Amino acid sequence: MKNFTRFGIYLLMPLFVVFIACSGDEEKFVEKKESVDTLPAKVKPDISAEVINNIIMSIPSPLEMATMLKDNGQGYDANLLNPSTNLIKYNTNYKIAFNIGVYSADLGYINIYEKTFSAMSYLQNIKQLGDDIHIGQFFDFETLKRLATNTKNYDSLIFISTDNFNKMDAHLRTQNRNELSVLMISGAWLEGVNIACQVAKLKPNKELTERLGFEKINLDNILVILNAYKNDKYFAQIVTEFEKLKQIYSKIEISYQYVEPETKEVNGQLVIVNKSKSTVNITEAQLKEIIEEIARVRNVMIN
Amino acid sequence: MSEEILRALMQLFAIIAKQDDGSGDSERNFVRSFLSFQLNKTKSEEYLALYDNYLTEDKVVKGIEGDDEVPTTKKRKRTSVSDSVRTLTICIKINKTLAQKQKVIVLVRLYELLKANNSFTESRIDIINTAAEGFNISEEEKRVAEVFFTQVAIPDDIAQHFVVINDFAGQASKANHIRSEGLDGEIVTIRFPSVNLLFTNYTGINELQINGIPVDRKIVYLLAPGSTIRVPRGTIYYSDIVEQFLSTNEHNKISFVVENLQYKFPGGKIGLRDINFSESHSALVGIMGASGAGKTTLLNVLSGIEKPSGGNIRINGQDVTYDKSQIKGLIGYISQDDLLIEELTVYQNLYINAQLCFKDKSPEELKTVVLKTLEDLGLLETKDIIVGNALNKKISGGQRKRLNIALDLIREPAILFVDEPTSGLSSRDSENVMDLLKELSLKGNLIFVVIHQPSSDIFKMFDKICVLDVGGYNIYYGNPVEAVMYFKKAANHVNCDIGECELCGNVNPELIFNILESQEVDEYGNYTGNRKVQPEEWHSAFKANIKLPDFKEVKEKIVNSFKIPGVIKQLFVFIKRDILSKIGNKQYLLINLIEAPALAMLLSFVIRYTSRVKGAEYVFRDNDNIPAYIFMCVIVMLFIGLTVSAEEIYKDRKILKRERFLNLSPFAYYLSKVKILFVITAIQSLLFVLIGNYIIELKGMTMQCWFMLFTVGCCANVIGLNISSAFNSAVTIYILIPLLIIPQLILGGAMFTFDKLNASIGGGSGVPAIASTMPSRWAYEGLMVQQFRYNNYEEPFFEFDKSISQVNNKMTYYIPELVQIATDALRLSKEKDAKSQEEFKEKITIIKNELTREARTNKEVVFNDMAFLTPKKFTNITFENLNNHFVRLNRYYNFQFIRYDIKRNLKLSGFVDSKEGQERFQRVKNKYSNEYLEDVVRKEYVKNKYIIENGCLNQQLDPIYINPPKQYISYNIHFFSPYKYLLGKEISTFWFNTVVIWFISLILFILLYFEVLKKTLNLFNKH
Repeated sequence: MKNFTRFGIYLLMPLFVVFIACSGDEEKFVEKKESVDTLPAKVKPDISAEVINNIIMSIPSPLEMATMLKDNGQGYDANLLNPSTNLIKYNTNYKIAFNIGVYSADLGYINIYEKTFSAMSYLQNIKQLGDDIHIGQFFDFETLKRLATNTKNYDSLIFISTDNFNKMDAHLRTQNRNELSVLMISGAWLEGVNIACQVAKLKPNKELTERLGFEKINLDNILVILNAYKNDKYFAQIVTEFEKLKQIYSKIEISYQYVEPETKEVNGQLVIVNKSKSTVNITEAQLKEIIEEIARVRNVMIN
Repeated sequence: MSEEILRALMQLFAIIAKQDDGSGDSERNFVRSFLSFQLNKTKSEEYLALYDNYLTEDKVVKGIEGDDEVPTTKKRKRTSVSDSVRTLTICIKINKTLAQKQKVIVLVRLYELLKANNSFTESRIDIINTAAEGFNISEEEKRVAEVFFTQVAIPDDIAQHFVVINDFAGQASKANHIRSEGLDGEIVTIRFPSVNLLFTNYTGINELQINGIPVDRKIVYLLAPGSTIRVPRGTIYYSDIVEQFLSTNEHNKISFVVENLQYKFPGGKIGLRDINFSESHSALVGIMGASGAGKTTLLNVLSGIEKPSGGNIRINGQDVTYDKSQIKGLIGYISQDDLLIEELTVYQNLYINAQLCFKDKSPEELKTVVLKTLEDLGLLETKDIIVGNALNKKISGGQRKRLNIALDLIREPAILFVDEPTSGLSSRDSENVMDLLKELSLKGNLIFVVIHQPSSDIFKMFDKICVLDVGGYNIYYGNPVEAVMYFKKAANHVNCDIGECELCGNVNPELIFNILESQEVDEYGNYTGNRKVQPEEWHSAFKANIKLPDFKEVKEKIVNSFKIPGVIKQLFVFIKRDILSKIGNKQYLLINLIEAPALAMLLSFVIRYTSRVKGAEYVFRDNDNIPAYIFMCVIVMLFIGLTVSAEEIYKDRKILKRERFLNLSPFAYYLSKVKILFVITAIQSLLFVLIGNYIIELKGMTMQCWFMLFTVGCCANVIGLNISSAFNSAVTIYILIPLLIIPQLILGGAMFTFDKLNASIGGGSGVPAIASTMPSRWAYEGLMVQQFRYNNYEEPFFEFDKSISQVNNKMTYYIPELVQIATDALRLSKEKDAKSQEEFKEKITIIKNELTREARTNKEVVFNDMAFLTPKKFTNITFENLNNHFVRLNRYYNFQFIRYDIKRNLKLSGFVDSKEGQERFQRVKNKYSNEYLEDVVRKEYVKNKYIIENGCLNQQLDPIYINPPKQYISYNIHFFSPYKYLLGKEISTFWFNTVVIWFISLILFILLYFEVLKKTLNLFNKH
């Protein structure tokens, strides 16, 4: 019997050593001392939800800008987009929400060029981030699958992309999570403008330049609502960055000429035609400055 | 007798004969008759010449001496010395060539020479004494021979070596005595106990016959085993005489009675009919018969393996079939099968067996007994050789057979049944084996031997034979030599009263079968294929002609010579035996040790998926195959566990059959199997987990993985043992393995999710009952939940994620679903047709059930109009109220949601607030969590988030986040439940599931212990 025991020990000892060796080398999160129980109150905006909603509504959807880019005749460039590999960097709710906006703008750009394959991948990214903040339910797996298998469906792809963005946004607001909605909108705006800037950098074009100039209004609006949440660290950071952008934009003047609107008959119906006109004065240097600053801010925000 | 012995004998005869100048004719006549008895005429003349030669040679020497004119006394003395020296020289020479038995025979022949003319002179006796000394024959035995030949009164101190048969009731000396009525004079038999040889001599005037040959009064007969002496009234058997010699030794009185024995095969065919006989101790009984006559069947029935369908068998009054506990351990059974453990040495085989037989003996004593037995069987030189198997022979067939016999012989059971001990053995080995059995029978044991084609010598060894004929008829029971005469007589052969050959003393048992099977001949001389005499006729002839002697049944209890050890000791012996045999089998050991790590390496290496873009590194989180890996681990372990154990009992079944007669504890046996297998499984699972998890980089749950796989492996071991004990061929067992594994695959929950199974077997939001019998399902669930819930990434957030998921699902799916149902209900309430009304009722029931369920957990938002939720009372107003309630519920959950969301986010922010923290967070996430595993346990892609089952709305999505209902023991709950209830307490799914698997194993062990599967299968076989 002694022999067996010894045999057993010889057999088991190395195993045991390996076992011990394997169970070490663990990495865990370092828990902060501050307890979760001392829960700070939810960040309260300074302005009413209604005002915020109105402002959000006024900001164009990411797709609009993209449409203009294609009309410009510029080809598709995947390098302009926020790469999928960045996905893992987005952990906190705010960062996630902001980058849902970023990816949504990217998706709009992709959709315009009918790159279905890339579109699916970005749609997945958005869904994954959406899931993390529990607004992923609008991405129906079945629909996504159908879209992926049928490349001719890009119209409905555009529709779904836009629709989902709006649904997520709306859902966040009905859930009293306006701050996430604000971040999504901001993200989408920043990415949209950035893509336009990059295109303008390669192939300047008057219409595009003017359009970039007019973004001053949107930036002002966005800053209004971002400012409402600036008690929060993350919001404060965005505000700081966006304020820098605002300073550059402040040099750009937008003039507004009021002309009495006239009525005319189109196909037997009376239509009011707006004759008022806004003009923007933007120099080459200013444009360059804007392009650089936008790229910088975007780079900070997506990383 | 060899030339050498004869030559030596002639020399010795010459030396003795010439003493006292007495080399007269009488001596020469004795030598002549002795030689003619042994040899043919020419040869005997040749040896007689040799004798004369030696004699004259001596005389020449003497003649020369005579010329010296030395006084005769002195001369004679000197001659005597020189003769003594020569005698010794011859003896030493003989010692080198002859066995002790033969030396005794030589000595007896020397005495016989003296007896020829009754000249027991001093000098002649001197020579014989010298020879006896030279032969190393003990003083006592020499005296026995001397007394026997000089025919003086038998001294008391050596009286036990004599048997006297005469017609007197009493006896003057203390010698053993048999009374034979009508016998003139005496038959004296002596026995040399050291060599167990019997010599007999008759002094009367009756015409006696030994083995059918007339007795010459002048000759001393060597009484061979199985001999018969025909006396005026009846027959005296060898065994009768031997029994006298042995009666002084203490042994049990045995009576073995068989009455009207009948046996029917399961198919209804009759195997044995109307068998009656009784036998007492110290008997070797041969069972003979043509093949198919039922010899082995008879042996099985007699030994109690098979139940007779009629009649009974009693050992000292106890029924073999029904009073099993009373005859515990009395019976031994040596089957034809090879019962040795291949991997053990000859010595180990016997030693372990002895350990199981003798409780009270110390290891030293056991060793002595074992060595003694091995020596007796001539196996001492082979004791350290590994037994091997029939194909890979290490020891010879004869040695195997002897060792097999030794297994039972060592404990000397009172009644021993032996099935064809000589089949496949050389005639030399056969005789050795039979000698052993004979010796055992002489010690007082009763031995039944099925024998086929025995040689003459073996045939004569039997005290009794039992002849069976086709159909299980007993057609003869009695003395073997007489059996030949009986059948010869019945077949009207000439000289039918001579059993054995007069010249060589051989008996031809074949004759019996030739007579039995002789066929009828038609008018052309062709055999018709019909037997002349049918078995029934032989049977009735036997009943009519042979009257079995009256038998006095003994009732006293037989004392067992052995005691089996207690259960714990047995357990240790069994374990030791198995370990020794496993260590002995290097291939087995190697395969078992390598199997698990090799499979682990193969599995984990192949599925160590790395994204093929940008030469990416391996990231655990991105490996799609983790759920499959976990499931495969479980299946592999089940497979390994099954294969390791599947043959465990099957390969022992012959040994078990034998050990049943030892009355060993089946519990100890099974437990020993289980223990050894569990140790093997523990090592295998550990190797598997260490290597598999290391390669696949599944971190942080090595211990849990190991324990779960160990648990599953053990369960598989017990399953394997069950099939191993129940099925009777290795092929069947191995065919069964896929039959057991594939359901584990199908119903494990990994390959096919339970919500997508055939509706008739259940499933839906729960687990089908049939799947809950699968260890794979429990192990897979346990490991998956454990990995998901307690990995370093998820663990800090799990509770938040659970709460968030619960409230979020309420808001996003549950409440909208209820709103939809309520709206449908309102619409349907307006419809009048029966179908709509039916649907309407259903919808109302769902709403009512769900609101009741909701009220159980949610005390804050209460619906007050429960009473209106009936088909009759449901109105627009109720609908409005319902809707308002849903809005309030939504608001309530929204509030909850935001609260949890903020908490979670805060905790998260704490982890990622620095660059370093951010990086660590990503690292931990990549290293410890797996996206695809999350998808599986959260049922990310399930189509219907909620399904309607039995009037309830059951959640399909996020099963890992659904709290199970509080029960005493969680029963019939959803798959991937985050925790469960055991005895009313919350317990992690992992531990709950291990408990379930151990419970399954326990039940399987109980089934194994009671051999339920085996008995069930037997039931099928019968019908």
